[in-house]
Amino acid sequence: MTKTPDEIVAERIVASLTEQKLIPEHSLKGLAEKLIAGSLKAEDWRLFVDLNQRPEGEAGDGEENGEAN
Amino acid sequence: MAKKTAKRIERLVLRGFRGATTEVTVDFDTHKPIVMIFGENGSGKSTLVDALDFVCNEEFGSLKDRSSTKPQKHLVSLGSSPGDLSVSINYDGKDWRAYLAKNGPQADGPVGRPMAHILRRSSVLRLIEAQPNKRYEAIQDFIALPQIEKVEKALRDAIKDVERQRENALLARQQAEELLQGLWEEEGRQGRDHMNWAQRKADSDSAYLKDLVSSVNSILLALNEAINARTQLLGAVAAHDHDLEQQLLAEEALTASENLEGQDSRTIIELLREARNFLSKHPDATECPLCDQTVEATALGDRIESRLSAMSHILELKDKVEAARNKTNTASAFLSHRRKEFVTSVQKLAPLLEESPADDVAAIDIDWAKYSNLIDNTLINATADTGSLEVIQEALDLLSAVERYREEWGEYLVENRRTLEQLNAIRINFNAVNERRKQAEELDRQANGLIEILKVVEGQRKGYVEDTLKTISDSVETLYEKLHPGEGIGKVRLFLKPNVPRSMEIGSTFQGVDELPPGAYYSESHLDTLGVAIFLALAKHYNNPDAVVVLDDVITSVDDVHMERFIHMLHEEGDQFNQIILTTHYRAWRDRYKYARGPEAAVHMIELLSWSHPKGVRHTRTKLVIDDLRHWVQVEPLERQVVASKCGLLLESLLDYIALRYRCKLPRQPEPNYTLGDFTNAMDKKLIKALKVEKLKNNTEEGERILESLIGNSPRAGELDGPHVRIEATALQSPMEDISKLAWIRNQVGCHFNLSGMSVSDSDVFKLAHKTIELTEALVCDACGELPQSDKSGLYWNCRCKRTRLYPLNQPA
Repeated sequence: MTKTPDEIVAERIVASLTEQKLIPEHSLKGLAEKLIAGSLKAEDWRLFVDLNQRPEGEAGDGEENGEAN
Repeated sequence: MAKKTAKRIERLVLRGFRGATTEVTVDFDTHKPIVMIFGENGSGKSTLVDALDFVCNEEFGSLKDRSSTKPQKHLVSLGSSPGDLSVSINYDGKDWRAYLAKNGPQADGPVGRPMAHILRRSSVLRLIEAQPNKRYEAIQDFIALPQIEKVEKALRDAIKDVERQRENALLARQQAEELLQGLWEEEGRQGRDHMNWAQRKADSDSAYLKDLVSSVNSILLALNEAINARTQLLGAVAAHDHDLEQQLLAEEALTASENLEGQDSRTIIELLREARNFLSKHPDATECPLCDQTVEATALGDRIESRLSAMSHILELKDKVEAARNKTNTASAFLSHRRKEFVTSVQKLAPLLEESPADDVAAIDIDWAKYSNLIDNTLINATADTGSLEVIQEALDLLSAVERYREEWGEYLVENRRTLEQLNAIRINFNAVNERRKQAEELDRQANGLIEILKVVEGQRKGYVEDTLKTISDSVETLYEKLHPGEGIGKVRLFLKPNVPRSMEIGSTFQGVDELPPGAYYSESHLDTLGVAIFLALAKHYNNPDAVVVLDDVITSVDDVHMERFIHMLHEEGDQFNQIILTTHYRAWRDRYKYARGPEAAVHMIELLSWSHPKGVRHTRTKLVIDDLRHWVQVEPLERQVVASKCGLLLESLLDYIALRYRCKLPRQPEPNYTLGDFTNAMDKKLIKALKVEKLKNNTEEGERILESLIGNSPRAGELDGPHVRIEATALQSPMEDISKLAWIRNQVGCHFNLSGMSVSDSDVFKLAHKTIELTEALVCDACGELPQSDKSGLYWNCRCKRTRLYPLNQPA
């Protein structure tokens, strides 16, 4: 099955974000699917950055599974 | 030639759709990779293409681009209702049916519905000549990343939100700092700077000041309460005195009246009232119940009423006295309450004064010993007799002694409260400055994090699109070079317009100058072919197993040379796609196939008849000229004129082809309208003698494989000499010479009225027809249906599929 352009670019974005450590590791799971579905909202992006910039051990309850709402 | 494994649309059925006022069924030859639908303007070409768009892409077709129309309304053919509308296809053996749903076109059917890449004339213009954003729109179906663009927009929104919040934080910080600056200046610019001053103030202990303000505030409230209670008390005293005076006056009036009526008046009144009550109960009494004397009841009753009436003012005075006494009692009780209230309010005030931390309060001159009945040392004297005039007087004296400080304390309170409020304001704004600065720094970090992510997302998106456009540009260049070799145009480059989202630029070369917009320099036909080249390159790049390509009337007019190259390119590229469906009103294009100037075997040709409302869109199969001639030769009685005329047309086409290949000498004239006679006279005898056609035929399946592999490859040594392939050679000298001898029949029978023509026998007409058919069948390739037109072999002329060769390559010396 040929990948759609969205799928191709989503994979590249995830790889690049991973390499540059711009998003916390636990948030990377399922990120490609959300990119492909176009379902990420502004607040999701902010949460990623917020979590990534917090010192280790400060993550709250809702962040343990790494899922953005 | 044909890709036997390719999935193709086999049938298209329209009901109530646009021009299809009656049901239309179009069957496509699935053995042919290209379908050409020829029709004059208004015959229904766009209806068929829109129907493909409707069922394959669930789109409104060309109506979508027309702002003056409502697609839902005008998609329905005249006289039909939306419920009648449907478009069905059969593709690769499976059926889909599309209809007009509430939200637009909707197709039902199994998985694997084909996608139609459709290029219309309007899209070509938009692709080449429109503004960059419109140009992007024209190809966005191919290069757009809708979901990635969506999340990228959300990311940009997040950055905007964060930056807006950061700006707000900085503004709030600035406002707080300006306020501190103002306060600092008001206070005489103490300390190093306003922030240093503010920090000291914020750190200072304000508890004493708070207590002080609270204490003075409580004292003033208690003082006001006591003053108010005193006012209430004095009012109660005045009211009580007034009521008592009224009571005394009423009592005096009653006493005076009783003296006048006698001392027993009160007893007499009561006795008269009793007698009246008795008589009302015994109206027929004849004796007095007390003395047994005879009485006359009515007369006695009248006398009783008369006496009571005379004594009524005493009764009224009695009531007034009673009322006045009650009122005095009430006033007395109220006065007692007011006294207690007043004394209590003054008692509350006293400890507040004694315990106040305020210097101004502590400094007042009061001899507390004078108020011992009112106050003990520490607490409110709960046992104080509030009814005692001595106690009340002490309270009044104490209040008078304190009351004179009220204004002074009021000013003291205002001043200290202002100081406290200022301190609070300094503290709040100093904290705000620090908090907002931290917030702005945090938001700044967040914005930077988001911007870094945006660089990745945008970079990957743009990189992908630009890489794609680069790949497509290379493909366009290859295609365009095939169409316009050595013409000084091309080097087409598609690229995103920098810093402008969803905008695409096209750069090209014109006469050695690069990066020029083709719309400004290229001719119309060059732009047409450029549009098609870009579209085919895009369609190739994004081709999927279930896609067909549709070119809707994209070529308007091109010269012979370019038309030949275009057809060549189209057939070469045709193998890249499942199926190409093209429509045209350009007759010269269609006729190239009819006269075997193109590989008609690869093209299913459909011809649209004139449209009318009652008949709708109608079509028929396009006949090749040779097929037409074969048909008329079979018709009895012989249509001499028709057959002779069709022979002439076909022969002119074939001899023109030979004359072009061998550069035969023809009389020069402004327009190349040569007659059959011109052509036959131009054929040199040596050439006629040397003309030979070889056709490669397969003996076995392996032979067919070998022959198929000829396309795009040169035959390997010995490959064509084996048992699998045979070569059938035909010398053309005989038919050519016969045709030279018979050519006059065309003019005599097929073109003009003349008596000598009438003497030509049917057998001579038949002979001309058979020789014409013989020459055509000899020259035209049996496999691809094209005349040999390529000299790339260097030895002979080759047809497209390389199975038919025409010798010699050049005119014999």
